Amino acid sequence: MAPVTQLLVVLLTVAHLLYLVAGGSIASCAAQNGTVAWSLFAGGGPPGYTGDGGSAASSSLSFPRKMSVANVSDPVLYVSDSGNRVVRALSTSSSPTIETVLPGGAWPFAALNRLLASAQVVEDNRRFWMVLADAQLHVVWGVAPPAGGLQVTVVAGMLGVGGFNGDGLNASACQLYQPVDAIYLASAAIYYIADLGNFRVRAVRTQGASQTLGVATVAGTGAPPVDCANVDVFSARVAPAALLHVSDAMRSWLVIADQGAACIRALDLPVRTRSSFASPAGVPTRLCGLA
Amino acid sequence: MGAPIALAYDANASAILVATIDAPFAVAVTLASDMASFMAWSLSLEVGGVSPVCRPTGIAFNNASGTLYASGACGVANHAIYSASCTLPTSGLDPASTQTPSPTAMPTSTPSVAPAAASPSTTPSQSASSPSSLAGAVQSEQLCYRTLLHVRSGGQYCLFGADCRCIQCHTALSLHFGSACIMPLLPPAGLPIALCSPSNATTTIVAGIGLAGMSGDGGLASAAALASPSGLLTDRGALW
Repeated sequence: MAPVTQLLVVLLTVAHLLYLVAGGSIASCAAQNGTVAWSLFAGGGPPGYTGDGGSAASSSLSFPRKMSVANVSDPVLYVSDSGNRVVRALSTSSSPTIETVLPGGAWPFAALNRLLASAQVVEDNRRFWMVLADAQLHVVWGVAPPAGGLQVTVVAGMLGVGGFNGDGLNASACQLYQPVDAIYLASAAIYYIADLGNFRVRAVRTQGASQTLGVATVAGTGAPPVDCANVDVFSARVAPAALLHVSDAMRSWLVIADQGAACIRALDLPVRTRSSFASPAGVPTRLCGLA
Repeated sequence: MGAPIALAYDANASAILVATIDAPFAVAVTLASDMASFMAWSLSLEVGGVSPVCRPTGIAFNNASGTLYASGACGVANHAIYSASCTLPTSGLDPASTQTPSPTAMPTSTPSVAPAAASPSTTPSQSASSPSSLAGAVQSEQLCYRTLLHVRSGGQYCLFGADCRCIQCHTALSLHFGSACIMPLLPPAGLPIALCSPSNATTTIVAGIGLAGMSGDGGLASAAALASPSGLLTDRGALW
């Protein structure tokens, strides 16, 4: 065997081992001549609410929506089981199980008609363990850690009142309209909300001496998008369906799934230092589109 | 792309995973390998495999296991979460198959670039007639970052597509296209790279003469002088 071929064989073996050890990448699968295989993980039948405490594959779900993975050492998949109006957790072991971690009883009575569009586990947040966007009651819910009794309270929005009544208001007095996603950026202590019905991305952070939560628009004008052009953040039209924060040592981006313009947009967040943002206001500086 | 409905992050590949609401393939990929410049991010085609989720509503990625999860429902049926993982080939090398990658594996940003490589093409030995500073680079084994359309200013490396049929850059002054990549490799740092085969390299100088300068506007790109080019963008057959 030629030396070069031997080297390639060794590298191939190393690559395969690295994939297995490091968990691998789904995105680079094709580049590695790999094959993506899909398999049923949970549910699979008509809408239902069964299976808690047992095998995920034998369970039933009802209109499962957005999900998040938490706990790096022992990853757990959380899903908003929107038709059942609960949040369920699935282990990611070889024999995954399912259970309800946020049952209907956790909500106040007025939230019977909730529609949980997303369930995002948050980190480094003293108050909440999870945030949930409720597209029916026009609020973002925060869930106190399990040790605190799983108490569910409103982070932002007026319960059952959808609309837009401006920015700069206290979060509890600020109207949202069909929010479909919410994330928490721990490094800046800011919640970002995909306020889809208002065609805006909203930010919620503490303000003033009272340290109350205030709401501001960080992208979107209130009008539906017409294209995916690269524009100034203050004139950009967006229809945010989902949010994601990505960063490296130098830059920080808020990625927006723009459902209306059929593109991915990114807000260039302020350049941050190693441990904190240089600009505490967290004002985005640019918004780019990628169709 | 279709209307995006959910996002997840594949930290192992520095890639954003995008679920689109109306795509037969549930997931598309945005490579975010260059955090410093959003315009260097590029869309790839689907992650691969036909997702059984007909109308996805959510995705999540388990970076520890490399597993992608997609949720959704088909009307009153198939209310489910599916998982997807990548299985790598375990057999020996197959240069023929890797040098003739499936067109479906090409990132959407590269087809407008690839035709330019068809002419004039040179073999490695023929490339000796190119600027001498490039010939040596072609003859040596090269590690190419698998990041799309990104040139490191002042550096030696360029990038290529998901299938290794790609742009290759050996110096900052000239750009090359080729089909030389044999086997991709995921390095410990998590940045996907691929190993290019020098013996099969076919390169074409697209622009630049190997000397820094500014000349050639209105003429052949291969006769033009560039000075520290950085950043590439394709648009409807044009390379910017």
